[in-house]
Amino acid sequence: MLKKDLIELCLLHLLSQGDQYGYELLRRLHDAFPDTQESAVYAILRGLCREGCSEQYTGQTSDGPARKYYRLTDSGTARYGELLRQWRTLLAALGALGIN
Amino acid sequence: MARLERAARWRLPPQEAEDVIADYRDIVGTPPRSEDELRRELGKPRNVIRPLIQKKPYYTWLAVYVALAACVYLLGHTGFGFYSWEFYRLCFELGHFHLGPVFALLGMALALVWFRRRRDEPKSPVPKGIIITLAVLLVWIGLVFLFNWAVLCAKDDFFAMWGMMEPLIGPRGHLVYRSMHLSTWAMCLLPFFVSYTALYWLVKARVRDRRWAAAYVLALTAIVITMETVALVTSMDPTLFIEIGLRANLPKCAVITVIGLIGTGVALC
Repeated sequence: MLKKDLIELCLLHLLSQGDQYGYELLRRLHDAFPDTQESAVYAILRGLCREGCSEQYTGQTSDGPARKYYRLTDSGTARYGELLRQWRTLLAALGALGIN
Repeated sequence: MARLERAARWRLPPQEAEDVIADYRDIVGTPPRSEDELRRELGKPRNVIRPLIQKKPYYTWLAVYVALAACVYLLGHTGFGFYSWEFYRLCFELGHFHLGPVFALLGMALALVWFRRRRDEPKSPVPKGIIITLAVLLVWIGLVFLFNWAVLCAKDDFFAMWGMMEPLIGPRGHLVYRSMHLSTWAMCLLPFFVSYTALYWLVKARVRDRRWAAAYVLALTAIVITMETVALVTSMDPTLFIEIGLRANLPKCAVITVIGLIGTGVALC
């Protein structure tokens, strides 16, 4: 599993918890991976959109201009499940080696 | 942000570019950050957009740009030098058939298809810059028609008009020769310079407003009717001069201009 896949997993995980707008997703991911540029995280987010794992829509906010929100699609949910399975397999393999 | 917008619109498909720009307006503005902070956290605008590039649509756009540029560049450059007829014939003549108008029509068609209106595109007034550019190009087209009429169709009246002014401005023959010489020079050089400007209008059609394609379409029209006229005026081939006929050029230019004007109107919609 590459770092890109880990970021992808995190993005899908955050989206599985509810719709979010771009900046919010980026800020939370940037906190988790401070050495990764926000633009690189954003590129992965757009990649998920292109692959149909997430989709964008314009949502209204009570105190500001309309914002573009991201939400998970069915194919995104499937991808999330697949990445989660890979992550757990990796964790188990590392655990078997004594790496905790 | 302006640089990022330009980079996004040049490299990404239109809808994708608008989505990315909308996201980055949020990202850049919440919380407000200094230019240095943004550069450190996001990178240079070009580097921000680079990972978002989708190869196929981007290379397709580059191929379209090269094709559009080739149409206007080749037509415009045949006018560079007084022996334009030779260049023009070398590049665009197939027997007695001229490829110049064909190149122009291909360029117009490609520009209209590529820069067509998107379904969800909001309506907005035409920018002043486009209107001014189109007005200048229309004046140029008008002058080409005046030249055609004066020198090719009504040349006797035209020469007589100069003759009336002979006592004031010198011998008629010399003046007519000199004015024709200067006009032809201007008509050779104008397409050359405008061909470069048209490349810039194409860039603006991509990164600013797709309706700049109207300026490209009208520039192609102006260039091709100018070159058709220059080719006829500077031709040293008397058989061709007779065969095509002095008066045949005007209707041909009129047809090209009508097509160009319709294309310009469509591009502005």
